[in-house]
Amino acid sequence: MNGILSLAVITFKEGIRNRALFGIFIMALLAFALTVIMTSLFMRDIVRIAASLSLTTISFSGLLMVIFIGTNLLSKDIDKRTIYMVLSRPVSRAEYIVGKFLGLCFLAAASIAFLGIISSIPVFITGIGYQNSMAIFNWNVYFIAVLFIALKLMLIVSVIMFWSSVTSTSFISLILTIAVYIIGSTNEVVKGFLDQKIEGMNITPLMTAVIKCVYYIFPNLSAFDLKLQAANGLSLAHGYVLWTSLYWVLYVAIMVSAAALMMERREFP
Amino acid sequence: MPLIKIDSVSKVFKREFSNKKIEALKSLTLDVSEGEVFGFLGPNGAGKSTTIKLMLNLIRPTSGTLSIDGKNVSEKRVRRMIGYLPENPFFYDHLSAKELLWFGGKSCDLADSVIEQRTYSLLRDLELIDAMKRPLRSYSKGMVQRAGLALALIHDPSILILDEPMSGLDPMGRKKVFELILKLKEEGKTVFFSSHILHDIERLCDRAAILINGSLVRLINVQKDLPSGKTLEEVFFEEVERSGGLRE
Amino acid sequence: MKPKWSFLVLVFCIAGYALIFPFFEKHRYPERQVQARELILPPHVMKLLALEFRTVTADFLFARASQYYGGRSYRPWAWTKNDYAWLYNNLRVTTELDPYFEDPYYFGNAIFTWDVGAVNEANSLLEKGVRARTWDWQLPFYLGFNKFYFLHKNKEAADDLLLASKRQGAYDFLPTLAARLYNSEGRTEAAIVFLTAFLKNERDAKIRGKYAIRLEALKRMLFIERAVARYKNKTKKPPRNLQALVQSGIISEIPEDPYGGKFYLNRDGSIKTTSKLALPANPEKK
Repeated sequence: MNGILSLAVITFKEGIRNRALFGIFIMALLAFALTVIMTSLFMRDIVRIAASLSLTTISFSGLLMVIFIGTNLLSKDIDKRTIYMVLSRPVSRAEYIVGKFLGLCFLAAASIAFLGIISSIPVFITGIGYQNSMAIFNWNVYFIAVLFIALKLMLIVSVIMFWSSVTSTSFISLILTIAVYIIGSTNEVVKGFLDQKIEGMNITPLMTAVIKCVYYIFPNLSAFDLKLQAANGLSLAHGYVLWTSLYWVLYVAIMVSAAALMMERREFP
Repeated sequence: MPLIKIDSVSKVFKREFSNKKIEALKSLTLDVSEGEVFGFLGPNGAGKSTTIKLMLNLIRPTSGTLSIDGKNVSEKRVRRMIGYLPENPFFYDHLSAKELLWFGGKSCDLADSVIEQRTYSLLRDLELIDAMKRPLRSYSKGMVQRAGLALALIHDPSILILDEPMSGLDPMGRKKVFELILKLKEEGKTVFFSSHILHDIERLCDRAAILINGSLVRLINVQKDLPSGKTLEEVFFEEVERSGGLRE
Repeated sequence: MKPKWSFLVLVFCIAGYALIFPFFEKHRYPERQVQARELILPPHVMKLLALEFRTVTADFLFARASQYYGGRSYRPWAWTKNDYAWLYNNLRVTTELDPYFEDPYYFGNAIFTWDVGAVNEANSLLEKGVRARTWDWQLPFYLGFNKFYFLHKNKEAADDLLLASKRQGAYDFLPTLAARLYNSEGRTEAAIVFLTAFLKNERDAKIRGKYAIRLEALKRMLFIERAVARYKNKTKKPPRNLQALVQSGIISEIPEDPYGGKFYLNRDGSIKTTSKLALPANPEKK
């Protein structure tokens, strides 16, 4: 346990001192400022648009951070042999994976918490000027949406860990993670097209099977996208948070244990 | 009972996507007793680093077993007893030496107070106290090496495994490491290290092994076995000749 | 061999995942409906944000519109003004992002003329398409029909038809049809010509259904119009109501309105129906 936690701490410290993080934060802050300006282009539903843009900024910055810094931290271990520093301790391969994962999760959570709080400023400012729009807005749902962005990012971290445990180059794991992100963001919608049998779409049985497989195997990232609900002040159906969180726990657990399994078999010559 | 026992260990590397096999170690058998200072020498590519990494469970043997203190090296508790210094140590750039040692201690279940005290005394001995809170990327090569030694020693291990500990150091640095190994010997620790610098091995080691092309060609008791007048260097080159030169 | 804990954990997690998936999916469903109606930013903003991905964004937006419509069209009476507004916005932006994309024009025209009766919206889309898709004869053809049939702007309709006739692939009867449009008496016949052509062109089954039913209604109305003409010819005065046609033996029975209403003779002498040529608002309500 000490091994896992201490590794998580130094992973977090290493990540948070990365210059790239600083750059991403600056970009996010600029985007927030831009949000306030952009809302003046619209006439109605201003708060809705501000909330939507704020959440998009958090999501995008978080994604950049997780993908670049996450792959960077993991690849350093493998390319630059910093993993020796950890594996020479009485720490098992599985503990290494769990420790790294926790550290990156702390990093993601801290960043999103920070961005989440800052992002509420433009929304709040916009709300002051336009009370009508503010009436339907619901801060609860907004912060649940922020939480879900954090969960989504941590899920992506677990995917990065999995790919890093399987491939030997950081570049390959980067590309594969981006692929999983794109597929995961669209697989629910595509399956939806399939279910509704849109006119004029010819779908062969093979494609149907592929689409279904992709839907079950790849993570359903749209489930964590609550921008619309937050923007429109819609409260979530009962049990949604519960079941989606359960889904998240199990999917992450699968990724991490698979990564641990792969790591156990790997050699570091 | 020997502390470190390497029994008929072979390691074959197979490159991905090709059938080309590299026999890095051919049935190596070796014992190291408690309190010994054991030297490991051989040309580049002889298998020295391979052997060391096998001991650390960073790679697994193709056949044979390695055990330390009666336990197979695949058990993680074995590493509680080992302090390892890799050939070119790399650490997380943005950590300071203090944080690095904190990690080293915590991962071995040391209490915070113990870690604190040992950190200060080690860094003082290794003359890294002033740089203690600076990030590791600002360290010179010699400082990095010393930080690596501190990490290897923070948990007071009974066995030190050092892979080319003098490589890349200036004369001052080499002197420091030399003195450190002597000190550890006095404390009764077991030290296993590989080196190119035959002179150091002559002066420090009790026994030494010469490894060429993955095979153990000669095991020497440095104090006793060296024929009068011959230096270790001469013995070494003899063995290289006998093996028919160096492998690619 | 020691038991591989990570392997067991992995298997356990996969089992758990398979178990909870149906529940997760069930709870996901209502939120999916919410997400189907994505936030559409104004066209100039979308153009900016889409960067080099305009056409792909247009494709995606249209797929969403199509899916949204497909998902809800089995209960068209459930559609609210907001739904149509969203759809219109979507099509507007899609055609801004990619003015050469044909589907949104046809789709938009079909829905906004026949479902909503928002002919002006449909026409604004079509006009954009006519300008951009200079090789496409069908768009001005549909536009002409709308203006003639719904807006009674015969001259403009005729102009559109002539424009269509100049584009490659147009039906050769277009100029003749244009000439007919000036003739207010041949309205139903002209409309039938249009609709027959539409029906032949249209691929989408739902939209074909709309055309087919309208065509059938018009054919029956034409039948009645001709019977009225024969009556006038015979008796030198117009009939009092449609029953008179049956009584005098001109026709054996009054045809049924495929929309479920009843045909009647309007005061100005034209044939109308109680259904107003629209399907009942909510067939589920009794």
